[in-house]
Amino acid sequence: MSADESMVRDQELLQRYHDGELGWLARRRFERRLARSPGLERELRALVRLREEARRADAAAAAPDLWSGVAAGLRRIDAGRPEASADHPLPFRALLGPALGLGAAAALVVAVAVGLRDTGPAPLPPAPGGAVGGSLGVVRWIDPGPNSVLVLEDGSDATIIWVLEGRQASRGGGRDAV
Amino acid sequence: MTRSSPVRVTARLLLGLLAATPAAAQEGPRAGPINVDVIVTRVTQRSEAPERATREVPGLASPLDASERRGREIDKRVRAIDAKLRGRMRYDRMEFVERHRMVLAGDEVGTVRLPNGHRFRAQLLDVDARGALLAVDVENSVKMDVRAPSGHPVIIGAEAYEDGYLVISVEPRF
Repeated sequence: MSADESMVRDQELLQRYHDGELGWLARRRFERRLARSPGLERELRALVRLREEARRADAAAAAPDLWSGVAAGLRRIDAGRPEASADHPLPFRALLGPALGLGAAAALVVAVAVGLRDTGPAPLPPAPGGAVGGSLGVVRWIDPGPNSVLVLEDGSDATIIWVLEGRQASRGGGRDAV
Repeated sequence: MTRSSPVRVTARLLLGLLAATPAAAQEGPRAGPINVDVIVTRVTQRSEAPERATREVPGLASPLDASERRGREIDKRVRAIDAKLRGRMRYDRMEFVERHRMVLAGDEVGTVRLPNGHRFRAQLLDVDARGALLAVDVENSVKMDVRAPSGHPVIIGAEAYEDGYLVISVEPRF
């Protein structure tokens, strides 16, 4: 076996050892070789470091868990909101269908944004039941302004975002970037 | 002369790539172009509500011609939107208003003037296996970021319009 072929074989063994693919005997044999070969050991450490870097990069890219913050925000809103919804009927609510009252709770994410004017945009919780597009669902961020908004994201083939309250006062235009 | 093994070289290259990733990310998204199909309909609660003429709008999006509006594809799309809303929202009638096809590259903004005068804007932020990440802005109503797989409509009921409400379906296709 030439030196090049030996090196290729070593690399293959190293990769398989690193990935836990070697059998018990082959693993013991390779560990004995590792103990005798500082070069192989250095390469193994490089592979381990590479995997850790990749894992850290994955962790950094993962979407944050927004629900705890949302839940706290909703509790704050509920605590501070008087029982005034009946005094201010929302015209768009007239369009809400019967499905909203029929056990659709599991499929319904409700973002109550009344009173959020001072608290800023409301991120949405993950949709129960597994929404399309990943654990955070299709809607990643939403700013309904002073309106209330319903988001129906039940893992079906559509996401419905329903603004319940018409804008009472105009404001500046939207944005080009987020 | 020392010789680096291919494993070492590969590891260095990969580490270099990993180290370069944050800098590349700061340069902004690289995505698209993708098609974004925007269909505007109107829902009303009274079946006798008069039909309204559609209108063409300026902007990056190009409305289809009148004959195509009456085409089968439009009917199919509107029926599909109706099927997804029916039973969840209470309305009597849904009618097609206008359709726009945007072709968006990364960071590009497509703009549509809605029949009520407000702007609808969509910006493509990213595309990956989970779908297209779009920043959507319905002027004076709602702003959102959505990541929708290809063919997944995001249906927005946001705007009062005459005697009904506009319903905007945004569907990335790529």
